[in-house]
Amino acid sequence: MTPAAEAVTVPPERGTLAQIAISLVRDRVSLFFSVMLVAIVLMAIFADQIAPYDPIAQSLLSINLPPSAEHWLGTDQFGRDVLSRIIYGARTSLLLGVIAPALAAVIGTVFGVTAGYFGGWIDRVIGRLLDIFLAFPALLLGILIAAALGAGFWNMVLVLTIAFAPRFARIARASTMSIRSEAFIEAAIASGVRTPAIMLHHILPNIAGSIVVVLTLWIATAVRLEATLSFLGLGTQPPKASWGNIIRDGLGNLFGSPWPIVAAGLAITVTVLAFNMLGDAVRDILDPEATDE
Amino acid sequence: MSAQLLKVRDLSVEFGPAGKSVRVLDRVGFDIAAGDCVGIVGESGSGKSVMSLSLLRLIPEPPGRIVEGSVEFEGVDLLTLPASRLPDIRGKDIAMIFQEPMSALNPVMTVGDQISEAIFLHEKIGAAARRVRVLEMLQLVGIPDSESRYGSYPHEFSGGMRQRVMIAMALACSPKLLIADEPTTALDVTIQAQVLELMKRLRTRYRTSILLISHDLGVIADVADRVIVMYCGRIVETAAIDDLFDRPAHPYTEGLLNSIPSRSIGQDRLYQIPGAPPAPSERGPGCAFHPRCPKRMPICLVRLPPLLQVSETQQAACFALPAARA
Amino acid sequence: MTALLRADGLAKVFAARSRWSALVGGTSVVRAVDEVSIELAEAETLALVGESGCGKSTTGRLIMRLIEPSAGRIVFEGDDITASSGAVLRRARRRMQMVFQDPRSSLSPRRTVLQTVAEPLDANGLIRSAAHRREVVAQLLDSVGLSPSVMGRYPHQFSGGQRQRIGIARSIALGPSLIVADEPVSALDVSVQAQIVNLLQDLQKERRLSYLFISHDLAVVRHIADRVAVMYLGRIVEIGPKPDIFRAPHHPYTQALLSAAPEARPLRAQKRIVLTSDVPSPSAAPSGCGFRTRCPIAQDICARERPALRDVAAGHSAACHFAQPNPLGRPS
Repeated sequence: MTPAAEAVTVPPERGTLAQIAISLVRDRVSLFFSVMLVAIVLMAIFADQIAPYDPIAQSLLSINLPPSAEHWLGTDQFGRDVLSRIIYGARTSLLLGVIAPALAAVIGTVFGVTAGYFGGWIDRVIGRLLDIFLAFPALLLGILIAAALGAGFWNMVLVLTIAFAPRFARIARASTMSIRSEAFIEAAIASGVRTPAIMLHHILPNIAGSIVVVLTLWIATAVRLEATLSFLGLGTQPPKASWGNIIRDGLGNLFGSPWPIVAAGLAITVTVLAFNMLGDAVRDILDPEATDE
Repeated sequence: MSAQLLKVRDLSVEFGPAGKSVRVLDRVGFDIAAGDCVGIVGESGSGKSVMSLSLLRLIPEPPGRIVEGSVEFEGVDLLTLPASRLPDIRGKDIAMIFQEPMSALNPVMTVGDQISEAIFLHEKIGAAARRVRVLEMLQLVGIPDSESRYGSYPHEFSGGMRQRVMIAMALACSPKLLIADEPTTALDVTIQAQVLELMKRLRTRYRTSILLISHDLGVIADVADRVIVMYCGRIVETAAIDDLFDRPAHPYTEGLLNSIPSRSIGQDRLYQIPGAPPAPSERGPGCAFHPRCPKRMPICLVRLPPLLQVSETQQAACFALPAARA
Repeated sequence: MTALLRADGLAKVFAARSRWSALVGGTSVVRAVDEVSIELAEAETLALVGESGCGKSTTGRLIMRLIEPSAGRIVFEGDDITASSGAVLRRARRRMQMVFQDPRSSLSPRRTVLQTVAEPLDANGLIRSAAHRREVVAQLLDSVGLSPSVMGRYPHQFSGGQRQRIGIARSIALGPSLIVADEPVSALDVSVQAQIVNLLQDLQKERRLSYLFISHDLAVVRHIADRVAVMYLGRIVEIGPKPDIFRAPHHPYTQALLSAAPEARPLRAQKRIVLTSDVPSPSAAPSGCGFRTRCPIAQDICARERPALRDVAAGHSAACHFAQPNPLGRPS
């Protein structure tokens, strides 16, 4: 009987989350944006507790006030506290920015993995479907759907999901195809593992990296898209606050008070940058796999 | 004693960020004379590939770093040469061929053009003269129909043929030293035999020195006059080829030879060296092989054995040698 | 005595990938495996040797039914499994497993050793509880020389040899009677190779395993095989007991192959038989005998008539019109 080979002496490596956290605080820029990201998320969650005023409460006496002790970011042309609107806007933007891509990721991955795993006619049919959807720019799709079904939060979720799902599907399909012929898949088949189990336990965990990377990057895009659609009047409807329609309202009131636009613009910029940075960090860690040799 | 073409002394390479770096090559030194064929044998982690790359300063920095040593080629230390002078030597005086010919050849250039370019980098001769030389080289390395094959692309060749193209490119400027890093590992056995025969022929004809790196002792035995055995970043034995196979001095060499299946013909089990080589970050102060060594002694744990002369043509780094004990 | 495994006239044909390539380049048909018949007894090792493109790996996968045969019959433990599917195939798969060449890609990077080794058992519903799983995997790891404490780790934390051991542990989990080993030691260093070869032999003795040992490394084959089948361009050109094949090969390709393997014995200055040209592409196999383009003793008949596998000695056959012991001359 062969003597037991030496047990592995390499210390267990840090978990993935820890690695991502470490790379996010590594330098000042990353640290700044990481803090911002956390702040924005907390803002969205605890809006009710944090916001000093009701975001839709108007006050004709306090129109277009500059920043002061009572209104840190001033007020807009309806006397609404800009800070409160920004805080509640975070909730809208983030909700949309996270829910829609997440939904799109799930739907897209299902189609993509199926196409990539089975190949053949299944792949061709799904491929054509994807091509049709991919032919539409996301914004155009948004405008069309908003025009057909009306504006509003859930319609926008629908828009963004339809826009993003094919893109996720493409990535999932490519990743699946690249590992489809690996030996460990053959081993699983040879061991009697059934196809759904192979997809769930072997394909999915190994492509999760690329999916998650794209997901974090597209949260940023979703936030931007939401702002654009709201700005165009197709997204979140007033008086509900969203960064996009704050800019919209603010545009007509530019000489009354520039603060709403400045604040909302900054908020969007910081959020998008923060998520982009998160996406980079996630990508560096997950995809490709760190080598030990 | 002819002047040494290549003199390597104390070559050491580290990888990793400063402060947390690991030494993958530790004070390696050897000589190559003109016309010599030296084989470097070692398994994964022995540092042989790192060494071959560092001779021409091809180690990516970061994460690698040559931290110590000298590589004297015809008297000039390549490690202290200004970087701008290196391309003059690479490809002209010292040429290198690699394991995977497909990744070393440009897929969108014809084979003839690539060899021609290699010539032009070092010898500014006219296109017509270059073409003649390329065709000569292609014929020399045994590629049939050289005229028509001049315009073929790498993917139109088989693995063995591509390796021949690489050899043609490497020898196009008549280098004094050819470094071949696992040149036949990716090839089938019958093709490997062809390529090794070719290398032997070319060596005789051009009097090129060859530094052949391989994990396959059979390949080394076929081509080399002298062998250097590496383990965990260090040289553990050097010997003339016959001495190495008949009278290995270092326990690792002995273990390696015994592990070869053809040495256990008729026996029930193959000889196996117990355990596994340590990772670079886990190498202690003493001899790297001692945990697996049948001849280990207490001193092996704490002190690094120097290379001791076993005979006129053989050296080994081991405390268990008769010379060492006396 | 009934053979454990019997394959008759196995064939695998890959046709042109698309209509376009068929239009442009004519029919491009690759006979990856062409009329291969082998037999394997219990606790026996049959080695399939040949160079790249000879079809040995494809043959292994055909036997495992990982690829569908274009023709032929596979009878395993008395059952014809050539066309079976579903439950019947799953049952057969419990009894035959595979060990793969590349230690990197044969283990899923995102699954722990525990999950990987237990997978065959999980897939067949043989695990009673989490504790049971750990117990079974611990035993399996122990039998391949690994400490059970590593079962929570991921493949990239192990060396190539250790990963191969994990793969072997997975392959014996279901208690198979046949293991198809596809170049199991080719990617390993020589010293590690010796360990794994010994391990495979020990397991064979303990568990009465049969091996279909696919390899291009004749030295390893010489050590571990009982019988050897030599393949070239999808066909078996010679098959027989190991000592006979190595001492007195009857097919010129076999002899050239044996001669080409670099021997680590420089004192024995061997007169090596070096074949001149390259292996023909499998999609453009020569007429008649596939080896004739490189064969030093080829004659006209070799292009006209394809040689059949004919008996040259007891249990030993070769496919050559001029089969004789050492047909390319005596080795020095």
